[in-house]
Amino acid sequence: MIAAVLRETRFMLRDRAAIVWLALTFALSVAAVSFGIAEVREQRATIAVLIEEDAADRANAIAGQSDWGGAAYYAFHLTYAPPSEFAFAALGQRDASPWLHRVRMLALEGQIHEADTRNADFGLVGRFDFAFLAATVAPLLLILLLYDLRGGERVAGRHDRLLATAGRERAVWGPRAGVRFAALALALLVPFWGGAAIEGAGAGVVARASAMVLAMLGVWWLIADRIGRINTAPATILTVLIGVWLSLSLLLPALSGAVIDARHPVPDGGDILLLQRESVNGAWDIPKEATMQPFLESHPQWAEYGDVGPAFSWKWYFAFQQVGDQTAEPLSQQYRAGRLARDAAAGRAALFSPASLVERYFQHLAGTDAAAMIAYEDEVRAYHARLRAFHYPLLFRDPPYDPALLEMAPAFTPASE
Amino acid sequence: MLAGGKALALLAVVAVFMLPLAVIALYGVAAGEAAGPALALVAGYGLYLMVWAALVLAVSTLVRARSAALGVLAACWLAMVLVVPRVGINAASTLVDAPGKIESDLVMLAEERKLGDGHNAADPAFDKLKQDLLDRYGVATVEELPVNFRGVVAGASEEKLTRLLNEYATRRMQAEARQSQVFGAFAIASPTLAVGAASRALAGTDLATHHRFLREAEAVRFGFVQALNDMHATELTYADDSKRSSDPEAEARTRVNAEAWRVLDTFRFAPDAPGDRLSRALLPLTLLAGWLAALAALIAFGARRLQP
Repeated sequence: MIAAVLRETRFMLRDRAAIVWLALTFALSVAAVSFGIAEVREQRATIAVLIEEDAADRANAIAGQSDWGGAAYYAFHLTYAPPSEFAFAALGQRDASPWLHRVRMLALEGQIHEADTRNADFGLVGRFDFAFLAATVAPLLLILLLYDLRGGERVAGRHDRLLATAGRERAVWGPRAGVRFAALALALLVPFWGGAAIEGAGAGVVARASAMVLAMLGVWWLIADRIGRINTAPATILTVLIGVWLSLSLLLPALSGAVIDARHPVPDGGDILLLQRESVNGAWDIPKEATMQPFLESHPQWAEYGDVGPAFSWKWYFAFQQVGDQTAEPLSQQYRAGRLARDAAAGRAALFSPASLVERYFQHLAGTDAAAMIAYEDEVRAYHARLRAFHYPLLFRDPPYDPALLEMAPAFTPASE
Repeated sequence: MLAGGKALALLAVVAVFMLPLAVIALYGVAAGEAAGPALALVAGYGLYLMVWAALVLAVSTLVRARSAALGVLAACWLAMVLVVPRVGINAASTLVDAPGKIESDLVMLAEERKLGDGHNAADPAFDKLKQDLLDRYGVATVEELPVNFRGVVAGASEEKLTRLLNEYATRRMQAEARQSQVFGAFAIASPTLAVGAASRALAGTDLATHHRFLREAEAVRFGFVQALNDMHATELTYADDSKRSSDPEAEARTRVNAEAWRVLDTFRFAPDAPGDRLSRALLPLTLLAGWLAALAALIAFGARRLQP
């Protein structure tokens, strides 16, 4: 067995094409891992800078205030979802969904759908991360390494002789394909393991991710082996294999994505914002009672402090902010449910595409999938609720203004920390 | 001879692929699009497909074994279509730092505070403005001014704030344009990126057009807000304005007619002139032509080597 492996390794090293594909795999893996690490480090650096600046900005904003309402109005609070130790391998939804906000006591629906804008040109093409390399590109490289095993020997006229000497079919092709499979897997995974060590990703997560990559590549090995048995020209075999790869890795995901988006309509974030803005701005034009009534219905504990005179008062101001959120809530819920439904449908469709399956699993492990992004949104909502719970007693009971008390305001801490 | 025959066959395939686009382009011209960009779009995609045909021909003349040629071509496709564009995105965002909106907003907010709060006419930042106005009209208090001081403050602070916002927006757009330049440079290694850039420029869906839309929309917003602020200064009395939250009659007199909002209906965004779009597409189209010329030279070299 060891002799066979050594023999096949020597044989592979004489095959110039095989060396080129393996070197390419290794180089791409190093590039994908390095880009991923650079990106998550930049994201962490941004968060670290913003935590400092956010605190300074808030202190500065509060310094100029003389009442509770003004302090609540002008103070922003940073919320964020830091990238996990494994995010370098799969940036996933972090490119499309917000992971950073500065919220204040105003209506949250007007703030939470605002993403940090990116260069519009970048949305056209995805990112080159390890998950994409392993899920989509690596299978094609494996096909290029394996398609010619039998065909090459047939063309060289050694096929039948080889089988006759070895006796069993598996004794010839098993070690030969196995050596190539192992070489490709190592070229792909060694830079990934290096990156995981640098980033301090958990061994269990890395082991599960590696197992997933090996299992998926194993499926492609099986496909390449089945189709490779057809007694036809190597060019025909390669054409068929590329066709299968193209359908499973690119066409099927694109097609199912389009179908899912059409079947699960999601309200536009802009519509939620507009509805909430109209409700909030409309409050200036309606009797103050029309605002205070729905607010006090959902916040009965403030009923005894709920009288607002004709003059401007902060408690009325923040009440209509909250009522704006309450108006937009059904649409906002629909938006959340729609995205979860799309994600669930995409999960079912991924069962038919090994590439989607691997990418989704990586994003799941990295905490960069749709579920993780929605969980972050929920964290922001929970934090905003704590902020309101902190400010309402000050606004409604209106004790003498004391900025020192504002230092007790809740601070955001991400769930992952 | 052999290469010539293959070339003809591949050109026929290219022609078939081009038919639907040509028909749609004709329809577009009939519907009012300028002929120049439409023609350039069809020519660009024709050039792009011919680059692939030439690549097929070049590889098949240089690499003898059919399956090896197919392998090389598959790798070329992988590189040019899947890998290079994505690497270009990573490189552009790594090389050119365009700080996110939240980060630049934080820096801007700090500067904005120095400008004063436009909703609060008592803000000390407006003392100089107040003194200038009092001097100009030769009166002693803001109540005696013939204009509503609150409206003047709102207009002045809007102008200052807009200047600051636009400065940051311009900086951001410049950083994005630099990023897209880096991204665009990868078109040298990927005809797919080149044809994409050309088609976005010709269709008027490129970054430059997006930025122009942002600037024009902002100009409309500024004009609209300043028109309201003018009304605030000249048509609302300071006395009514001050009593607005305590006196319902004064409140009613401070309301502006809904007609004032009509100005927003007139905004229409027009695409760039055909000549501008063509000139922006020139570089990527030249790149495609360069690819075709280089591959043609390679084919000629390979064909000569094939001859005995």
